[in-house]
Amino acid sequence: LKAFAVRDDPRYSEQVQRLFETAPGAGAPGDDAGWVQGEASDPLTETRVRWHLRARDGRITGARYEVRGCPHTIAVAARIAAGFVGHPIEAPSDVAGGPTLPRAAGAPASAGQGARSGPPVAVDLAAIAAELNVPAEKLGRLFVIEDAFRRAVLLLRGTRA
Amino acid sequence: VARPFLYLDNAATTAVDPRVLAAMTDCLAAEPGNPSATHAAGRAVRARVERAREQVASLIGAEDPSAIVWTSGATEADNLAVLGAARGAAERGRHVVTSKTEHRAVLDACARLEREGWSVSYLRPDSSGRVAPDAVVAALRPDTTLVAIMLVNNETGVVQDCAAIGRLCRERGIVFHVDAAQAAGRVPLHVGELHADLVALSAHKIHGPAGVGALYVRRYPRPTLVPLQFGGGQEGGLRSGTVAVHQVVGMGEAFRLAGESGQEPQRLAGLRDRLWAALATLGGVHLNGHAGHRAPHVLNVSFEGVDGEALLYELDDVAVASGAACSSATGEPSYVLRALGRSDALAQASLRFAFGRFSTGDDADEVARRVVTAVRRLRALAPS
Repeated sequence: LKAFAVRDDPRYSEQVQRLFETAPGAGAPGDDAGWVQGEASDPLTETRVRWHLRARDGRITGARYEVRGCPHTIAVAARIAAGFVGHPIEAPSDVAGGPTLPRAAGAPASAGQGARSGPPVAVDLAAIAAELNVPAEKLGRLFVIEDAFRRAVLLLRGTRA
Repeated sequence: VARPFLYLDNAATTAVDPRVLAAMTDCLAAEPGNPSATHAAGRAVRARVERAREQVASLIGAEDPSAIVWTSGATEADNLAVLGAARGAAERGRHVVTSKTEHRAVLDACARLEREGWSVSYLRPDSSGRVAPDAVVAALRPDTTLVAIMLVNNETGVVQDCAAIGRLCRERGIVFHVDAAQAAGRVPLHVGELHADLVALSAHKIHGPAGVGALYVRRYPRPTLVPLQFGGGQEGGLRSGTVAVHQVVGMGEAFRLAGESGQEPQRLAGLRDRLWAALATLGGVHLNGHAGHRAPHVLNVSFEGVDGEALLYELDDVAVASGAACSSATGEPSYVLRALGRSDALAQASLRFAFGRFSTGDDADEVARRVVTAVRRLRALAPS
């Protein structure tokens, strides 16, 4: 019967299961000192994401998130939150315009990495999606995470300026 | 016996009752015989088939056991009813009336008719899921030959006023088909009181085996049905193919047991209400479907502030159905709940709990505890 458990559901990789079930870094911060918020939503899927970021001396010192979304969305938010603490908010990176979440060992590089340009891109969704084995039909929801994150990062930069 | 799942998905299918299993096993172990054969072995097997036919006919108040036509399930019965009756009356008219919340077995058959040149009126129920008899009348046209309305909705448990709709159809000489797959053994089901000409029935919804069902076809007057299957002329030419004797014996026994269930509908309603009372403490929950006119075994609830797929994940060892797109064959949230006016978000975040003969109060309490815990966790993760 274990074969029918969600842990063996091919839609959910082990990392997605672990991150969704533990949701490290989830929830609004307990204090409001120095935190900025960025929020985005998708009316089609009713996905809502709110990021809380805090920085000191140009580096992200706290990243928390609130998500109404599917297990993949929550897992990706948890992955991003864990990966960005300690990063400079305006560090040079291989993605034009902003820092990139470092890839986990063995994770494939995203398509076009290093060649993108435009507004600050804070999250390399393709790399994270590949790392967590997020199904293709879920990728659209991940943009909500990115949009919210970008808004928070822009606020952080504005606060710093 | 420890159970690996908390099973509250009895509107999808039910556990085979041990008495049904015994009847089927006895049948499978018996001497072979084709019920269509005229020799003694065939007659012996045919007696089993006819006994089962009587058992099914008895539960639904059919005027004669010969009104029962065996099928492979309610889907085939619905298909035969809708396609067969429409095609059988094609010379009189090519208009069918049904509702947006019918089972796919009816809706897809109607879609097929549309591709063949019929026109179909799909009635939208009110926000409680009920189709007003007046709305049916308003949709009728001179060329309407068939009305198909289900008795108990498989997602919400809403009970339609089929008796009133049937009477209105009977007065106008229009064939009335009722999908009663969810109704048998749960709500009063008497084909005469429903003024039904055709009624689709299922075995596995009431603790019988999957793979067998029946279509009640009124005897006098008998609606003209064009068969969908050809071969041996069995079942009065309406459903060719050797009857699966052990299957129909199982269905007969399941229907016999349902007829002897006494206070079972009240017990199921008690479990349903107990679960609803526990879930309602969460706040931000919505009962889907009419609060009064509904079957005792089904409870459909939408939860505000949570994602349907995440909720299903959290309830992995609880067997319930969901309106979430991820659990739907079409990839869309429940069309039934959307027809009731629920937003996509609430349709997605809905669960259908369905009790059966082997469900207990402990099941209701434990499922309530799991759902409350899961909803609270997901709401805590979500932006306020």
